Amino acid sequence: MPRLDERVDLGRIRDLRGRGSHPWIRRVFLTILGVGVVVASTGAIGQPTQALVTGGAGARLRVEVPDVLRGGLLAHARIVVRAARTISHPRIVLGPGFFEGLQVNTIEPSPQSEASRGRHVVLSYAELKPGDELVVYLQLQVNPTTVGDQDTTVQLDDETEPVARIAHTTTVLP
Amino acid sequence: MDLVARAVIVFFAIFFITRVVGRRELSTMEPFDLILLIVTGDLVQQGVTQSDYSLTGALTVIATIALLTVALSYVNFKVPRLRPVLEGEPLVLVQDGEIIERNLRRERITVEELLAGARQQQIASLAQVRFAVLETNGAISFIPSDA
Repeated sequence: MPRLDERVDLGRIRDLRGRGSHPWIRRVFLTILGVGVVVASTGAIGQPTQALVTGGAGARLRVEVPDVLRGGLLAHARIVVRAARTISHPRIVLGPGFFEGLQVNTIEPSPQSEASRGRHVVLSYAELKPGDELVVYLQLQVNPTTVGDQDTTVQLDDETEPVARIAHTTTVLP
Repeated sequence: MDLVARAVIVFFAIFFITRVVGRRELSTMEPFDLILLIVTGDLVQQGVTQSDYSLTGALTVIATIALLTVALSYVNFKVPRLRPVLEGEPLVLVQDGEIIERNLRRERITVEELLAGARQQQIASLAQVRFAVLETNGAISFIPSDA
């Protein structure tokens, strides 16, 4: 029967032969974890929302939509249209990313009608007079299986005439 | 950022609760305690990750909790004055065969539990015990009189 000390390398388990670098390896991995946590704390993994604004002769368009999201997260987008002239048939054209990678739980206020334009979804609202403001909220949730960039561009049309457009991409992390 | 903040809050909440509940409860895990622990884990998960199903979120929470664990251990190692707060202090339950009732009451340990602990370490009578010490991890160490 083998003796216990025959199976035990005392040089290694008592004198730490060949194990001098182990604490440093552990520290390197802890540092990597720390960097990850710091990066996450800055909002780099979601879900910061920045306001994008564009303005023209017809209207001022402001869009707030998250830049980065993760699977399953709930989020919202806000679209603000301030008319500078009469817009007889204001239509908000949403990029396909709003519907292909995300769930749109609600749109408030509800549009008068909804239609598709290729992969885009068009929301039609009532006429806007100069100075009128239309605020549209979209309550969103990310599909758990969605990964990658989603086209969340928002465009304001007067019927079919483009008035303002904000190109935006929402990145969904795995 | 909210994910990290929630993980930090829950970490310290669990730490506080485990310190308040007492060591004995944590070391003597009955079936009810085990189920309660699993239910608590599920509730904690919902509070931390909420509707987040992502790998990124899970890894972030794991990294945060791992770092906090190491940080707490480091503070515990480096600052002796904080050790009683962070991990508690041993408590003598028996000295020279005499039970210290006050200390048993303090940790809600019955004499029967103490005797059972002694039997598990092949000690037939407390008369054979020089010291019985409730360690910080909830285990009871018995030091025989002839040691």
